[in-house]
Amino acid sequence: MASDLLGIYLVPLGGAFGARRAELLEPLGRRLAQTLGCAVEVTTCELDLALSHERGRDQHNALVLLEQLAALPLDPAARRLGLCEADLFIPMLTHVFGLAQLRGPAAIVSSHRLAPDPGSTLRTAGPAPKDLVLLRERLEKESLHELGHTFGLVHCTGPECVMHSATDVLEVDLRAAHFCRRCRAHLPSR
Amino acid sequence: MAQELRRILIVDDDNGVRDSMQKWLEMDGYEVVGAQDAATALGLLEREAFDLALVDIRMPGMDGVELQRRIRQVDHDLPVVIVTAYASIETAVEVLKRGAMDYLTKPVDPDDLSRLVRRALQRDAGAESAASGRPGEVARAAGELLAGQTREIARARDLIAEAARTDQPVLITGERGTGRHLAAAAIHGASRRRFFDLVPFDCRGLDEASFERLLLAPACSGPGKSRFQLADGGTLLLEAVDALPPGLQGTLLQLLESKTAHPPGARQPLVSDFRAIAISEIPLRALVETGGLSEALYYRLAVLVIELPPLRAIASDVPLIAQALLERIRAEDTTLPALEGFAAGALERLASHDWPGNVAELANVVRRAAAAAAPPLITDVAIEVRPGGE
Repeated sequence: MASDLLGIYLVPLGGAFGARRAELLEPLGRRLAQTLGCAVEVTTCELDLALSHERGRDQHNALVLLEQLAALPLDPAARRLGLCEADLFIPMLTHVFGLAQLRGPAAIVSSHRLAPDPGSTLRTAGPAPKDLVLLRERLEKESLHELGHTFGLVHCTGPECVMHSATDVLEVDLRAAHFCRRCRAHLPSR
Repeated sequence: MAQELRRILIVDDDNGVRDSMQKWLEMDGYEVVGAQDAATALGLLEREAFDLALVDIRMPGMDGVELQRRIRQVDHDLPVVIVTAYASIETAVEVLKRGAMDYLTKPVDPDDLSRLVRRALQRDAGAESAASGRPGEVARAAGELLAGQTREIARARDLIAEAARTDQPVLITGERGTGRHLAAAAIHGASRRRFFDLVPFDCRGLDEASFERLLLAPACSGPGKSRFQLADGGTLLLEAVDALPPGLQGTLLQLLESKTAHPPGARQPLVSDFRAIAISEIPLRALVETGGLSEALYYRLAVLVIELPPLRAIASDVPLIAQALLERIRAEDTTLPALEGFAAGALERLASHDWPGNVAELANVVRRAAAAAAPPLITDVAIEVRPGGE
């Protein structure tokens, strides 16, 4: 990747999305590149998901995954966005759709609770085409949201801004896949 | 962009919990400071100003409940939310009685956390649930209702706990003064809907026009939403449902079933996800039998039924409830004498009364006695009960 300040690596974790990977990540990469005006690249770096797995909850600790993502030997100027199917949590909360290091290099988004059929595995039982479109939209919004945090943005009160807080998939669907003018002004210039 | 910058103090000895809460709330735009124990927290509070404290209940050394008490001495107005790993209705009532604004059970749903923090930081007290009847304050008072040991009170306590765990409609019946509103507030305050409003709606004296105006039309003051909309996510408290005219029972039933309203003149239907709790002075089943209430509405409301006994039926609980009332009254008013309890003669006096006004009347008697008595005990001289009640 060129040493572009806004470069983004997409890092699929734990064999995420299986045979559907290209169908999901290629359009996602194009949309992120378009919205953020930067180069986006899918890497083959892998993380050990077992390190973040908590047996008692059968979920993965998003904070552990963020640390692992931040430590990957990639261009230090670029953001790295982990994408997984695992159900994510942080110790205080029941679940998170994604998480980011505020003004840091790493972010992560999970499809687990975004899929129209929550918890279904995308690798063995592919979703119907319309479900795939919906999932792609949700992944795009959540990816933009978490990447926004890595650029220092906090939650926005504008209900349609992608930085508006969403703790429910319906709220994710209500948000647009773009930043409002005020939030956009805080993004690094292209 | 985000909320205006407010400062939140998180006190938890678990680094993982503290750090994850801090990161999560920072993304909401708050400035967050962590403290690993009570001593560090108190040190911070002496030097810096905060808008909210989230305090873990179990910590080595000083626990969260004691820390909350100390915080009130340092900064009386600071809202404190207690964080627990497991909360029963008794725990909830206990921490609320001791002055916490609310409590959270780990792990918490992210939506509930955001709601709670927003609510705690609302500076405009008028905007905070103008219609809610201060659910935290009212739920605090439910402690007295739960103080009894008789089988009737134990049964009511179990049902309140069960109702708090589920999302089903609840019907609470009992004479005036038995604590029906407190029971409703306790259910709401311990349910997962507690971060939203408890919205009362009085069913007395309504006709079709006033029903629509009072339930479906936006309030003239406040946030400009109707009670129906304000109850979205929370609880709609149907007061005196036994007094609802027959002509409106079908309309209420339709609202309860569809959670959708079509106010006159509105371009779109209103949708509200609320839980209904109904209060009645008389058993509704009897009203159905006399034709005063439609059977369909009865079955819709009476999924969980809680019958609160009159005080005369739980006479052996009167001393316990009186003691609990005294403790709350003293905690609320520190100018009152340092009274420890009741002398034997005072308890005899209380036991000999038939309490037609129930717990409300007992509270009034204890309040007056607390103001008149000399420490350490309230004697029979200070107990003024009036035949026939208040």
